Amino acid sequence: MLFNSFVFLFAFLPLALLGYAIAGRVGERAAVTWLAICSLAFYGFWNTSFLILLTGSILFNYAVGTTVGRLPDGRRKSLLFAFGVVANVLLLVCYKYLDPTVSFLQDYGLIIDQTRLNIVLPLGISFFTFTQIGYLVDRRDHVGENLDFLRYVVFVTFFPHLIAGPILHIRDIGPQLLKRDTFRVAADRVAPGLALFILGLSKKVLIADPLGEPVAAAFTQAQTTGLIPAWVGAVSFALQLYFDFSGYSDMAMGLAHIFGFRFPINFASPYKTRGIIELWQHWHITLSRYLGLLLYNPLAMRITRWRISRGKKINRKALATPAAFLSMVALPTFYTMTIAGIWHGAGLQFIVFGLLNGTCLTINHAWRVFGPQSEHQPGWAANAGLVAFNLLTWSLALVFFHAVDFQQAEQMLCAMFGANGLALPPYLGAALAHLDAAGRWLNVHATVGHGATTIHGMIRLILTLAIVWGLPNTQQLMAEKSPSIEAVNDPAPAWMQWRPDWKWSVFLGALLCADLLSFRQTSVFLYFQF
Amino acid sequence: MRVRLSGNKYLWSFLGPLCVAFLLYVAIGAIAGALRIAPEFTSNFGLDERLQFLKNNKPSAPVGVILGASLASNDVSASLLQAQTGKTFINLGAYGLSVSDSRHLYAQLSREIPVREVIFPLHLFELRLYASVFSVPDSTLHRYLSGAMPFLEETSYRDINGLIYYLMNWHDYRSSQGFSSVAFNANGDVPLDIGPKTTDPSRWRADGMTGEPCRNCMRPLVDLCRSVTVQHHRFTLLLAPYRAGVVENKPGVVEMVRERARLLPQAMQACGGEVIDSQKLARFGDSCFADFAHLNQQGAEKLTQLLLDYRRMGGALAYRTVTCPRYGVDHLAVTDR
Repeated sequence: MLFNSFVFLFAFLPLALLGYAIAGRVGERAAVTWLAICSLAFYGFWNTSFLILLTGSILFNYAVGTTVGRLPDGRRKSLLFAFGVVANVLLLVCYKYLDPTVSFLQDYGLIIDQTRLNIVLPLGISFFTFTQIGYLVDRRDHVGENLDFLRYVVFVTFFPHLIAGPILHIRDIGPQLLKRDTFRVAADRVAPGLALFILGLSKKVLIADPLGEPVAAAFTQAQTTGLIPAWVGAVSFALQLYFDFSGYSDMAMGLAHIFGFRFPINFASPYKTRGIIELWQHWHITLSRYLGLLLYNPLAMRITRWRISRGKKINRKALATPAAFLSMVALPTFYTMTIAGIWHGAGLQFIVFGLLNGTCLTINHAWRVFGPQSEHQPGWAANAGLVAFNLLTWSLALVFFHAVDFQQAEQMLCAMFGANGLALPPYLGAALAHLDAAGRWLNVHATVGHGATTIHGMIRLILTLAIVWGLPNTQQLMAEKSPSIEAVNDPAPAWMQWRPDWKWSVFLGALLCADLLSFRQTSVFLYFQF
Repeated sequence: MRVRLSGNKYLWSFLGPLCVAFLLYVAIGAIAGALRIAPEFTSNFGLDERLQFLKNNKPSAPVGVILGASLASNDVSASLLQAQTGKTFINLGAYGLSVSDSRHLYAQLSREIPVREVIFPLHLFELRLYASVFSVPDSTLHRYLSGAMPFLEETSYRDINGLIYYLMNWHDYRSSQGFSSVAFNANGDVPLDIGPKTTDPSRWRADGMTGEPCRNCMRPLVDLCRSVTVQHHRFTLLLAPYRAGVVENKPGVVEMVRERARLLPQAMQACGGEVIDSQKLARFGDSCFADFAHLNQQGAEKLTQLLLDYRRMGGALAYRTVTCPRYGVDHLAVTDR
């Protein structure tokens, strides 16, 4: 069931909310039970057989987590914890990587039996597995609340975040699950929750989905597409992914708030940032935080301890030496980003995506450490240049993220660097082609048939960039009554802030109407495949 | 900074957007309905318009149906057939409709209306295998065609971008001077008011047309024909005319057409269908065409007359040359040969 579907909006959500309101009046336990039932029904709507897998995973992790939490620190606890984590990783490997790996080996003749496994990837498996690995870590470290089974089920399966995050930690949601006030349906929660939901829905169906057209045009014809349509396609994909995923996160946060919960912020204007480090701090924040806690920090800590044990320095001055920088920054960065890349998929292109990000992050860190240490703030033109450069670099990396395979990514990059010429729309191409020598040098040729797509794509791109760079993000718009866990530090100007008045009602009503009238064209969320 | 406001205000700010959205939704649905813009049940705009036409013009007497893609819409006149035979005919051709989707449409409409015969105009170079455009269950289409679909549900099949695009291209769709016209007459024909002087030169020359091998290309045609004849209805495959010289100048296409012409009689024999090859009965001059493949209004009337004459004479027709004086000669210096 998609959030952007009539069945969700007009059947599931009203029923779930009505039942929740009634159950909330009966008692806390009834409300938690109702939420668990609704969430499992939401998941089962896709494929009931995967409910068994989800339930099995929940039972296993709850049992392991509870036992790990009770055991005293020592070898038994470590072994049980390691067993729990390995079992989760194995589950992920079986469903996500086994099929592509076997297919790869079959294609290269390393396995003679050509029978394909055809394993269907259960929806949201990465998200619910990550959430539960996080739970095991928190139980080991005695972080967060100890939940009863029913509350644990809601923590893992609560339908707004089950399929595509945000990735929750027990310390985010645990205290809310134990507070009686949470299970109360109130207009002062439903109104801002609905507002954020509508804004998120509009980001998905009115902005992200239409951007898919130039993206598809560029990627499917990567072999022949020209430089301009290729860049339009690549940057459009960066924007499509942002609006699609941040739209989903907004909807999840809005829905959670309608049911009385607060979620952590997952996106905070990543495309307004001036470097890749900053971008990752504002992009899919809960995943970045998760990767930091579970991958980056443990390795960085080990390296630090190792350096200390060898009598080496670990302070800022020491970091400015190449060897220390490589071991303390570059190595954990590459390790984390490579695994982040692999998490996104089993193809070579995802590993390259991870490595590219690792490289960019390392360069950015190196610039901070080895570059000029100036207090001088860059002017607006330099800032704008940095923001634009950052987006273009990110778009380049995302080519590997979106391409169906490494070959398509390669073709797309070739197109983006002019291997297929500029490919201007017909009338512009014809005009430039008259400058014969320059035209030959630039390999200028007019596109046939795709000119309109490129022009429409460019117009759409410019309008979308105006929204990205010119307007506050949804969290800033909702800052006064933010449904997030964290308070928003840089709210939008007061006149733009959401408030319960008729102007916002009309605006949101018009957006909702346009959303409903766009459901025919909508697709699943891009992050569902992960 | 968290601000506390009164509960009533929140109640209204929760109900407000829902009420506004509902009112706008109803208004847009009503306006689109009043403008006779079809809801989007398929990914084929022409087919959606056709379904709306069928819903609003359901014959109760046994009917002859012109089925197929744009050739059906543009090249055959159901109104002339009806006028001359005294039997009811409707045209249900839809732009870009594949043969297999025509079969799907036939299966659907044979449940809705009493079909007597099917006339299927075709060019042999058109037999391509496309993905289906039908994306909703037949039961949904049935509810729509039978008029049992509630207004709100019907509106859920509308698309805001599609509506804007429709309004922006209103003239092309609602006049007979655009190739994407859906200006149906009472029998559903879309007579094109386009001649050599007003046509698009690239369409006139059939730029970009290439040949492709026939990989099971007869299969959907045989399936369609069989699904009609099995119900003891008449199936006529009408091979429509195309501009002289266009196909012949494209070697790959010539081979493709030859191969298909060789396979066709056997295929039609297998399903009990009748084939009428207009190219063997007449030569249509350039003045009868709207582009290299589609006839204009006068051309369509002449082709329909040819079909009627063929049936009347039991196939014993003298070869004729057809010209369409109303559209004259073209600006592309191509004269009727």
